[in-house]
Amino acid sequence: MMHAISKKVSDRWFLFFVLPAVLVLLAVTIYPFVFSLTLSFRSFSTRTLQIGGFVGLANYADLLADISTYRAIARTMVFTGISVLGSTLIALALSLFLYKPFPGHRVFRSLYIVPMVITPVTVGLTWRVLYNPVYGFINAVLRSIGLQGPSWLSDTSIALFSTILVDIWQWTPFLFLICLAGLDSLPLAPLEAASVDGATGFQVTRHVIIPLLFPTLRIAVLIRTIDAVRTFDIIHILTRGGPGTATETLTLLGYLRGFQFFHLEEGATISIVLLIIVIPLAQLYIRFSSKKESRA
Amino acid sequence: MTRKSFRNYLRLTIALIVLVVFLFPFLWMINISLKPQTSVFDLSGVLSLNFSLSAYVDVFTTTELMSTFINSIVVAISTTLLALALSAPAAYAFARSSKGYAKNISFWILTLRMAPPIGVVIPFYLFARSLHLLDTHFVLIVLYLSFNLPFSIWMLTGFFKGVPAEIEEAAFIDGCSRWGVFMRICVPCVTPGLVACGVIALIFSWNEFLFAMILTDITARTLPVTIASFLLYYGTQWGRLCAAGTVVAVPIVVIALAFQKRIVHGFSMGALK
Repeated sequence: MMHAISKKVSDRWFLFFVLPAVLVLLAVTIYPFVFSLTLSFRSFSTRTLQIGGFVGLANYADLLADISTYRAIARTMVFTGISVLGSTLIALALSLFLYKPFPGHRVFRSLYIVPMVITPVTVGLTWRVLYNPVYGFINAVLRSIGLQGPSWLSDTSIALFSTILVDIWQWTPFLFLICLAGLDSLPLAPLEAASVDGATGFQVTRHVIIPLLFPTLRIAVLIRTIDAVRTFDIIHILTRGGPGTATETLTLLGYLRGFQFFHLEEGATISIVLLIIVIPLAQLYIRFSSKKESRA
Repeated sequence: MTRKSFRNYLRLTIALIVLVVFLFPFLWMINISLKPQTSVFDLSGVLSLNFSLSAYVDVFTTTELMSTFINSIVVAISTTLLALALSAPAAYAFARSSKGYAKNISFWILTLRMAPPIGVVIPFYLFARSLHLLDTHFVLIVLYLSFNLPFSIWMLTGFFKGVPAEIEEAAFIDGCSRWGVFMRICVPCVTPGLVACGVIALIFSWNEFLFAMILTDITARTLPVTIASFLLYYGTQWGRLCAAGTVVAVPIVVIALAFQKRIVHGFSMGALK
């Protein structure tokens, strides 16, 4: 009876409430992407900034014929893979140690968000200062114990890993806090049942806690992965894609081609490639989230 | 010492070590910014207790940091308010709608946030250029909606769903219009949600770099872009760099710490319930 009243209310209000937001979204998200898509099929004049005629898949062919593309994709995968894996393992391990209350734990949890909210540009700045081979803190500490610190950001063989380390530093708290919250909300019954059945702490952890935590963890890891693929700020500030092309991931390549060489059509093509990579991940996200809703 | 309290102290120790690791770079930067500028290059100088505000005086009087600070504030607050104003009605509609597709739309809207920024910024660069809107606050405020709107709609939908239908029914029976119910009953109910949402949008907007770098030049430049250009021009003047970095980061960290509980939930985008 109660719900029948609201259903009889005209559905026109729905449109009025929703239309402004949807129109803006269409204008600032969907339309630009459609535009980028069409731009990726056309030529572009860097000199006059005019969009030229239809060239079919020529831009994509050029991109796929270029070895830099594959290197960039490989770097993106290495960056994303190691960063997400590293953060997840560290976050999981830490959260399993620290989720039971101890004196002051609330304060700690508040402070742990700092790395993920600091402006990424500032994160890059700070780590550039730390990584400085001569004056930076890290190498100074290494020197004091007799080790020669490397050129973290100028050595082509380790520059990518230096950036990965910064990304891990920045985002482990995110996964860590989510794990903590997830562990907090675990139902007690299965844990108690397992203890009663004689399971050791370690067994309880492996066979009860982690499976229960899994749904929460996988969405968080998925979100982190999608964000890691699109990382730009810290890499740009730390190395600008260098030394050479050592840290040139796909987003960096897109920026380089699009806004430093001003081949906007190449930038558009790369952005579509990035979209193609992200879409399956987003679909996974939708699938995981709605499964979770139905479970709840 | 009992076994339990030993474990607690162990946890405390580990938690402290973790905290130091997470906070150290940030505090290190602040530390460098508070030292006399000539002594920042050797470790003993940095670790000494000589405090000085010279870096801040220098960076505020000789660079454009102040005006970009104001730009950041203007852009971040405007886009946040705009995002909330647009997304609240939409979120309410999605929450109250009996149609099944409303839930799917909600998810679709969220996935828009996952789009690669390069794809959005190239067209916008061309549009803004042809409309002579480059380097204006307006263009940033509007463009930031591309990530703030999806996120706010999704987050506020959850909050509006939590408002009991009975309260609304009572108001309808009393002759209230749909908009009246929305404005006078539901919105006040979800104020904590609006605040949480606003804070997260504020953080995203304040920290944003790529769009700002490409679409602004001198007039509307925001803080992150200024930091990047400082790195280019003043690369070795650490005192100045760290002072600027601190100015950018500290306000947002303070705000985040004030609202921290909501933030993790918001950032988690559905991982936490």
